[in-house]
Amino acid sequence: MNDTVRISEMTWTDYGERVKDGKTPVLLPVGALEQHGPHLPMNCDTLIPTAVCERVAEKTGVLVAPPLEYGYKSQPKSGGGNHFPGTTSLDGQTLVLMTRDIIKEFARHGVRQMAVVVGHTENLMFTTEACDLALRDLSAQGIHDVRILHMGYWEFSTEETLRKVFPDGFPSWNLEHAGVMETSVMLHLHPELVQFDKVPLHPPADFPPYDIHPVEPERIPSSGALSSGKTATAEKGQYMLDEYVETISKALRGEFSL
Amino acid sequence: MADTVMIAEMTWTDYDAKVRNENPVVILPVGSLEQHGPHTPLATDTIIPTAISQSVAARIGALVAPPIAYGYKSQPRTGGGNDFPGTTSLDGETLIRLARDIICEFARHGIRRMIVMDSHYENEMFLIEGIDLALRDLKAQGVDDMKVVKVRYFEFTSDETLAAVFPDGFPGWPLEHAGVMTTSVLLHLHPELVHMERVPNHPPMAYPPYDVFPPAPETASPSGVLASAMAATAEKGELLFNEYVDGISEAMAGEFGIAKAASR
Repeated sequence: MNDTVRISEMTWTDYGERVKDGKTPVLLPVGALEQHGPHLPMNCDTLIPTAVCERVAEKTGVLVAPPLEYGYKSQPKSGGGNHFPGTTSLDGQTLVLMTRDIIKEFARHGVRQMAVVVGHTENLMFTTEACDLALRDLSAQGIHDVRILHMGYWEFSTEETLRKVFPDGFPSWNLEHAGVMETSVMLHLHPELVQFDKVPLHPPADFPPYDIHPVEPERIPSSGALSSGKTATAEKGQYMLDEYVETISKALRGEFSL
Repeated sequence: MADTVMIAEMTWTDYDAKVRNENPVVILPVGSLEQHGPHTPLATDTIIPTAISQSVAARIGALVAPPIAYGYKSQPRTGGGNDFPGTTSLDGETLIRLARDIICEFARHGIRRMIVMDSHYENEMFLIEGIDLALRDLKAQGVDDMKVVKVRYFEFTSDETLAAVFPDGFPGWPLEHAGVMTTSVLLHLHPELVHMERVPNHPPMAYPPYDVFPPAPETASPSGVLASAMAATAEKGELLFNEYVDGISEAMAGEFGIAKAASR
């Protein structure tokens, strides 16, 4: 038996042994296929939470499910909008049902502790709904002891780190789409996928305090990035990724008594 | 013809004439029935956006639809959680369909300009989806000129007003549940619905950076309040309310090319 943390690489028999007593948590990364500027690949929001989950799993002995690689529709103020070529999104209910079904399947296998680790802001309320519906369905089946942690990995950045990574001021997580954090973490994880010479240099996007439907593309940066990743470095990326792994591992240990 | 902006109070014939002759903007307030502490009513998130919509409508010549008075499930970190008696919430898909159906119906009447006036933090993504699906359905029917603007009224609070209303520091909108802002606005609009003597005086809630399902009751706010409203006053409420009406009227007049907003 190899010591992979990825459920997808395990045999059903090895997996069954690990989860049947309900004591091994399973992490589910939930990402997106979404434009991330001219310099980053479209699977950023899947690669980063998956890497965080795998490192957390190596430290804490939990398992990682195959990521959900499609997410909810990109919104102008947090992802540039859903009008870019390549961005491939789901209706809300599709994401709710997909996440709900997978949670219930793991529960059927015996898993009683899970974490949904989101990499794409727009997913959060739909994955929240999926956790709620899964627990309601499970409860109706007499299963009352499933616990799920639900998180956006970026929320684990401390203020100290934000000051360090953004010495000139932190724009906001919404404007950090294809910005310094994601570009840095990608430079650390997958430098071969980052075209740093193409990082946009335009100022942060400026939006009114409301949303307009249908989207008006001329009011959105044409690069797809909402702020510039020009100050990104692999060192910043490693620092941020290490912090996510450390703090999320700690949260899992506390919540699940690992 | 009665001079009302409330669609529910109009006859169908008066409404129809106005829609045909004036191409009015329709404002749909969306709230919730959710605990707002021991001191403010369950309908807080419906009363406030409806009042704002009514005042904005008077300014820019818009109409106000009956509010959606139920919202998405209260979350611990933004509304105290969905376990309180009285909190009565919808599944996400239900709210999506409510918003989608209502927008499509107004489109059928001939309305082409709408504002969705949201008040309840947890509603946002489901309303976005309802709007997106409505526009997709309408497009398939050949209606491609509907424009919908989604507003969360509290996002129109200026930094200057925040500093005046929260002299000791602003806790952030997620923690402002049944806090200084909504309590102040209600003291201004409906003092008879506010029980100031019951305002809890505990420190702001502190949460980890993640959600736990099912929520552990011992980590929830016992009062339902996330940050104390002790500092709420009717004067602050008036300042906030007027800023919301002024700011939203001006922005929407601009978005919809309405020449000049009537003065307050």
